[in-house]
Amino acid sequence: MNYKKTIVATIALTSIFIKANAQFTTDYTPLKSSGFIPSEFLKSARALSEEEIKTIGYGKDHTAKTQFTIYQNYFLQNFLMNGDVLINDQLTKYVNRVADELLKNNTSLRSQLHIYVIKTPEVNAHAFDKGFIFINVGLLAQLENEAQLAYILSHEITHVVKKHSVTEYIESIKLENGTSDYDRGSEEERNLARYRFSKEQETEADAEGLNMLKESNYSIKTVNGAFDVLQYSYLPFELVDFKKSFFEDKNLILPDTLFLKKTSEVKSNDDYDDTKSTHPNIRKRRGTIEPDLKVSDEATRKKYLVSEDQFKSARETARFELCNLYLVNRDYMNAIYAAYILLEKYPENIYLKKIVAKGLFNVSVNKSYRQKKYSGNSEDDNMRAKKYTIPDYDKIEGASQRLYYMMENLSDKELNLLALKYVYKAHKKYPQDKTLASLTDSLFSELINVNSLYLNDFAKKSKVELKFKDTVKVKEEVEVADAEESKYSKIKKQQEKVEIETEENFIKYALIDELKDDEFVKTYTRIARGLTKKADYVEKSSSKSKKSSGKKDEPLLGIDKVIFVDPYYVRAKYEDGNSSTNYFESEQQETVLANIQKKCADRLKLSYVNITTKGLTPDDMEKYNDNALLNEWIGERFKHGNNSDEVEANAEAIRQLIDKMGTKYVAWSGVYNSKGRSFKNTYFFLVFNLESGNVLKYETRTTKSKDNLDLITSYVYNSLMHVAKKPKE
Amino acid sequence: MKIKLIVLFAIVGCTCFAQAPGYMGRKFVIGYSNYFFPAGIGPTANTQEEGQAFSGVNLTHCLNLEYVIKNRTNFCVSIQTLKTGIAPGVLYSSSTYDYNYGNNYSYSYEYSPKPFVPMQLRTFNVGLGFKFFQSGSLSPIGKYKKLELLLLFSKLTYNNHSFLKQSSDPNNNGQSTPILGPGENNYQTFAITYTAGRSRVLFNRLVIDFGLRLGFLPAGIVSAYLQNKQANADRYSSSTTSSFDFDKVMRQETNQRLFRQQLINFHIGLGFLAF
Repeated sequence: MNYKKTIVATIALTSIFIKANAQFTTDYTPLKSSGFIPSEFLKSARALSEEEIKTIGYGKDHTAKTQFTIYQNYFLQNFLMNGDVLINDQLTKYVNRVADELLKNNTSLRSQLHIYVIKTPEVNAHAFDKGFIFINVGLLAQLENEAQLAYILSHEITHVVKKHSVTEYIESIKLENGTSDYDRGSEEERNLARYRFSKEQETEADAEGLNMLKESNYSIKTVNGAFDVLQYSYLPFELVDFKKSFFEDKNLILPDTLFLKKTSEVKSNDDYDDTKSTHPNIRKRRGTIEPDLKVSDEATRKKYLVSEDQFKSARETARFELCNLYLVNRDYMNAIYAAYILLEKYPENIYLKKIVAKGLFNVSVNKSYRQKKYSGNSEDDNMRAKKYTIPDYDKIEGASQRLYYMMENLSDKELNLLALKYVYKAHKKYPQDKTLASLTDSLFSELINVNSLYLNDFAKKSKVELKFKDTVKVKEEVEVADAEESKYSKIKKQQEKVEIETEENFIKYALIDELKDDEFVKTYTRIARGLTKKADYVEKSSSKSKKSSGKKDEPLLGIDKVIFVDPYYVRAKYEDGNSSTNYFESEQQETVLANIQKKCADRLKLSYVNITTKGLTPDDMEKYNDNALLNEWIGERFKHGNNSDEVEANAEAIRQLIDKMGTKYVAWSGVYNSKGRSFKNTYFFLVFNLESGNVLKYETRTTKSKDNLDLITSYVYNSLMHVAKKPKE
Repeated sequence: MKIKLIVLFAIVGCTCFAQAPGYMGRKFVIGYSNYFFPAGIGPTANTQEEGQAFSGVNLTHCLNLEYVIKNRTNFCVSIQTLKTGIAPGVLYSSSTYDYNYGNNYSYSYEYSPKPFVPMQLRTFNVGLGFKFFQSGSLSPIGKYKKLELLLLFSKLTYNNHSFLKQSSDPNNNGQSTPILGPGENNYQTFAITYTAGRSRVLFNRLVIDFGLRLGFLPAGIVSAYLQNKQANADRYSSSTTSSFDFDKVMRQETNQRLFRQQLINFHIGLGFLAF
């Protein structure tokens, strides 16, 4: 009987493992929240604040605690609703299971905690006094085992239990007031005191966290490994040698000069200067807990209490997710390298190929436009073209340095061709994929319009064929026809001979197979003749030239339907050089602004779709995800500034959203009103084309006046009028 | 007149910008404004005391028509009526030296109705101008500056039996009450005004507007200059004949009164967004 049970269990575990890996074999879908929205997400920050303020009492630090309560509630509300937080996804579920194991003996504490994974690439985690703990995807991707995660959780739980956030806030206020135990001193000294206080708290969390871990059955000796994770968090999650063969084929042979023979070693400095850091350096942290690491029952403790498979599956998921997050955060080199590592394991994964394709494309367009002056109409810093530059390879440690070096040393044309070749190959393999098709068109366009490379510039025969021809036939031909041959023909033959014998101009021979491909030639011809209607590059180029015509005559867009995301509204007060937000008024004004938008849109007969996180119910997960997607897209788009040539990471999901909403236009607006000696009012309004990434309208208005209802209404109406009104034929 | 209207509409048409939003799409404002300033050195129409300083407030009633032609620009037409008083006191005085006899004679004309009622000055003004709203604002909301050309059509009425002539001429000594003028004179002139104000929209319809207007009436300056010049000329005149030109003096008095009246005014107005 036991024998049978063992076989069944083995088969079940194997199938789970195979299934877990199978999910990565061919494709991967970025994580999304699912199920119901938890109640802690839906409580109004104002209601919560008013409720909690009543319990503070009137002891000392009453004002500081009140301020902190309001600040924390509003910060948390924004944080929970901005879409970075994952709900009921694989990672969050797994992390919560680990927390369950960790606090098996302390269920009352466990019930007070809300633990979520957030879509952020940094290797970090953080906690709030109200019981919220957030673990970054970047951290999960780097961990070695479950026990390390358990230690990090216990560290964060200590912050919650000890109410470190509010203590730090009060200390900070005391420092300003001169009532702290630390000397008030100059601003510099006050800042140093803040850092010292924070470091004390971190040391306490390390020690108490270890005690908490000891109460569970997790291995203690793995804690040192957790500090390794933090120490080397700046490195990719694996150190895999980057091979140039990744981009090569029989026709594209990259010269050895593009590859570093030796990469720089990883430095192990754990004793860095932490004077201006909120955390002690790793050496000190290790030192503090080292005496307590020895436990008598280590042998019975385990690295995995939930499941090793689940840990590995979660970590792999985090790594896949990380590739996308790198793209969103414009860290293209890390995105390409992370995808490269995973492609070694999952060579047929289209998601990873698209990560590389998008990364190459974005680096390529930025490199190609190095000399090009962006002609955006915005004078505002927020939307000024922000060119991406490849980080200096000198500053990169480890195996990925080779990739940085290669990308930095490829010329604009070479990188364009390399990207085109990679993307086209992927496109041929996945012809149904719209992103790859669109990227191919755009790279063709870049090749022709920016880098001035035409099909005639590429050889149709390989170097070997030409060499053979050169040595046998050409000699004979030349000898025979030498007297009749023109000087131009002789020059060309001479140049050809030099190219064949050197590695220079390797791109000339890169497209031999592609030139025999009808689709490749047809696509080239279509782009070269400008017959493409919706190729991203062409659309973007034309829109840029429109913008450059000047901002005096704001264009009428003639749009019928627009998605509006939650408006931004801040009312702040300036006193003694400090600004403080009036959260209650700001929240109220957000609703007022949304109502104004609705009213103006109705008057202009502009179809209004509002994707809001206000008034959501537990069933509104779809709206939560839509808002998350749009927020992520807008955040990423802002990083590109006025440079709309780059492709956004979640282009596929955005395409689905466009189909669902029936429009590709999204608007975002806001008001910042501050009261110092006088009022200052800043209003902004943006309309994006989600499909192309173009900023169709960017308007800012600044006045020295109060944010009266009529003033804001006039602004909103003006903005929407330009959106809705059709230009004259 | 037709040509003037065509030119006017052509100017408005050329400057009119289709993209100007107005307020919620409404660009036409009809409103009433009242311009006021304490009487001070110029009497009101109903002032009953004589002297140099007067109490009361001079009021100008104004019907405004405004149209948003650009994001921050309104084209304005206004019709204004003003009723005020002129208390000229001594209208004219001269001292003439008679070279034949070596005598010095003086003449003066004074408006002194009993009981005292100032000359009544009614003006009907037509204003054409532009309002320029501050950077960042959208017409018709916010702080603005307005430049306006005012055409003033004035009617001066007075009791032409209430003039008093005083003379030291032995041939025509003492006081007399000559009948001067027809009792009503009409004049036209123009002024340029500059207004700094602020307007707001309430309930999406009502427009409230307030500010300060400074006006410059060139004819007022010219009149003062001419009056001064005339006075100097008369002082050294050798003629025994008075050069007193009643109509000219009345025009100068009117212009100077209008100059003072237009110089500085507060205003408050209420209008509504018609369409």
